Amino acid sequence: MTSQLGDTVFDLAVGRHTDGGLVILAACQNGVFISVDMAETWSGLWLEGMATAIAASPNFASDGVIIAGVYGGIIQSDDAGASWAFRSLDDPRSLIASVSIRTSNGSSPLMLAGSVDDGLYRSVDWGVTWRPSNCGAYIPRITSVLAGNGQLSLAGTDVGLFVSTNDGLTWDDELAGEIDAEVTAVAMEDNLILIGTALDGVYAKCMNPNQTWYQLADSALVGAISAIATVPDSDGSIRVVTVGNTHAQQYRLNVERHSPPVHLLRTDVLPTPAVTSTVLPSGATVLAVAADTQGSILPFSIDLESLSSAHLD
Amino acid sequence: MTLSSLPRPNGYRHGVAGDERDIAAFDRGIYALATLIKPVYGPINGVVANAGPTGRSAPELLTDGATIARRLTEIEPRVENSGAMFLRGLLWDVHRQVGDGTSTAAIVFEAMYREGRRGIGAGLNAARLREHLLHHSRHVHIELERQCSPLSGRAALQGLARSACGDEALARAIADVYAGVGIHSQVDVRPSRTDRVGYDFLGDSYWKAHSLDDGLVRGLIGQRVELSNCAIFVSDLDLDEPHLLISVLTAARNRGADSLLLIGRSLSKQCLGLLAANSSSAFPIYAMSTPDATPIHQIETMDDIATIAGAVASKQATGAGPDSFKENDLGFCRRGWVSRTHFGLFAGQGASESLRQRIRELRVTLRNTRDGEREKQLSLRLSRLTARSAVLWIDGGTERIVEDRKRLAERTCRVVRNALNNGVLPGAGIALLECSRSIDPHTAAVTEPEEAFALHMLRHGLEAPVRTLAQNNGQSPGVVITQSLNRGLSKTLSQPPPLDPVGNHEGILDSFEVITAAWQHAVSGVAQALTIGAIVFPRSPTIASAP
Repeated sequence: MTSQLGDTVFDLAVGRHTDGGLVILAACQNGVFISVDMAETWSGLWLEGMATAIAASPNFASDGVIIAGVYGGIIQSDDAGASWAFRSLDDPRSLIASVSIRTSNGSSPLMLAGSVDDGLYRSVDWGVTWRPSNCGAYIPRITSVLAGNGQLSLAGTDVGLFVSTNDGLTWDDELAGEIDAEVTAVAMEDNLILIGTALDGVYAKCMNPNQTWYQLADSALVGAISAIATVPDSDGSIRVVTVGNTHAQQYRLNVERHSPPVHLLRTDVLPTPAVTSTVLPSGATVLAVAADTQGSILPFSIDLESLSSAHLD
Repeated sequence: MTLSSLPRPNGYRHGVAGDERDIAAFDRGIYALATLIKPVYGPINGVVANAGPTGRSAPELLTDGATIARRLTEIEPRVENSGAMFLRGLLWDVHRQVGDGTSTAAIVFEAMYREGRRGIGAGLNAARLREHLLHHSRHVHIELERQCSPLSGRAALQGLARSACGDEALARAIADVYAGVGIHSQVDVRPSRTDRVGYDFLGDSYWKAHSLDDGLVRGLIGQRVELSNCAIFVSDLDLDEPHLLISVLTAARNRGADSLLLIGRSLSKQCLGLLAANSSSAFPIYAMSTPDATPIHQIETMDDIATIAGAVASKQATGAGPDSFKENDLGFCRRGWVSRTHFGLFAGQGASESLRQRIRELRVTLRNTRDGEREKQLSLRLSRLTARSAVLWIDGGTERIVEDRKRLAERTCRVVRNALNNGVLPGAGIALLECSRSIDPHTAAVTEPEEAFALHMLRHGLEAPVRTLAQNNGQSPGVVITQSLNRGLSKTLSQPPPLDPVGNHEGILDSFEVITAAWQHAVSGVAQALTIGAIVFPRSPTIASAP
């Protein structure tokens, strides 16, 4: 069921409650909103201004951490949105396009924020302090960030991708091989990097061994990619679920991961064009939440086994 | 008329030293300097104390060959001094060329030279010996190239840095820095405020320039001023036309800038007054000189800055002037900064695609450039365009210690950059030792005694570094050399060398460029020195005993 927030939605995030239920977070023109009933109803969590990016901690059920980009800084809640702290960024006029959290499972905690005009910011103390981190990231217009897995972090820009091997201290546009595209979404699974672009669909690349980029077939037909989910299969292959402007697609990458063949398993039409979306793997399905230009938010699941996607009611 | 009796206008006369005793004295000078340097070669770095000119202050403790050579300005007697200065000049050439390797060069030189003198003393012809030395030394170079491998991975970086500086904390910091920013980067070495080794990665692009507006930046001594939402006028013009500055100021305000940075060749007093009248805390204006000295470099730099900021550079070469300025010629940066000696830009508003394309072209040009100076210039430009810069903070106590540490850090950074560019060799003398195998096949085909002896000299020189390390470590040189050769190169590369000094010796690497430069200079120096038959030197003037 779609719900009308009645607000411009800039970004979405999903997390799991302690009871296993899903939580959908929306960064909107008027603040941060939350839904705990699959987007049927919404409550305002923070209504003091525009929020342009949002992320929930991978361990949201236990730590309740949410960060959102707002004009001039980052707001953070450590109690699932009950209270918020504002952290100012270096330049008070930064607009944040994307935020990402990595918890400390096996690696140190890392938060990244990418801004529209001022490059990247980084926090390694759970959001207490944020510092600019742009060494090597010479394009200051960041579109998407991913804190990563402790080995690589990713930052998409309007002309390509930067990769960091030291938790965002320095960035390199040659490490992953140049790709000339406006990057709109980034994802990673082990040594496989995936980027969604505005016009050219989805590209994948294996970093170890270092291979060249290859495009996922027909992915350019679905418009700007706004979310990518990866689900490893038991045989070593990977399912990739992407949500674009007009369609959701499901792919299966081969066991070797570092080259085609890539099988397009399914393409589903979205009921309305999505301006932003988020995805959350959930067992045998992938939950996707998409928002359109009217502020309607549609959650739906993509069944990995039966290759059918069903709208939740 | 002999050389020794030639009158000189200033009263000096020349002396000639050419008999056997003089040549032996010349040799002693060489050996004296080489002996001074050997203790600092390793594996546990020794120290040489320099008492200084008066001998009354605390001695300076020296740990690297280049500084030892530099400090040794004269020894007595004069003929010995000639020998010492010969070697000193050679070592300084090595240091100037590659920044390191002077100890290796000294040790290799001394080992080959001793053998060469022995051979000549036994009746071998020096000129023939020289010819064979130079001819067969190329086998060593070929073998070194074969052994060369790229420097990759943080652990290898740290191992190389440690070999170069002998300081674990400094090596770790330098490895972190270069693992992060790579070879095409700007790395500044500065004294630490916290008295600890550390580093910071910077995300801005900055250039060396000087302030044109001393009046406006008064109070900036030792500081820098941050600018936000900065309009930038890029030029190499003499800023002496108020009309032009008024147009620039108007354009900056019209486009909503909060500050203005002017770049030009010079600023007239009249224009300085105009800027001072219009500059305020709400709208600060600064003027800096066009970076770079040479016109071609200036044009390239202006174009780089213009690409970053989305500006159009006003160049003298294209006839730009006050009447050609347009509002869209201004560039913008979200942030900038100025100091008396530099200015920096961050988050330029130039088109991303243009910047990326410029970087791509520069990378291709860099890959195809063989000229060393041009390569350095292109690398610096690339570091600025890609905003890859870092500060390495070094520790120290007194000003002198800080200066020494700074020199050590800069030298190590240079070695690391060389190695990233040209590759590495197994360290601890192993690479040169392995090259002795490349000499063996030529032994059977010698045509004359001088050739056989030249091969023997080369072999001796190739063994000298490992021999010196063993001696410094209290081990038997012969045993260590045999063990190393028996292990073979592949094992040596993957396992620690047979020396077992105190401390961690695993992963010892040397820069390919440094070792080859040290080797080449040593061989050519020996070839030259062996053919010196006489020394001419000025005598001191006679001091009158009566007024």
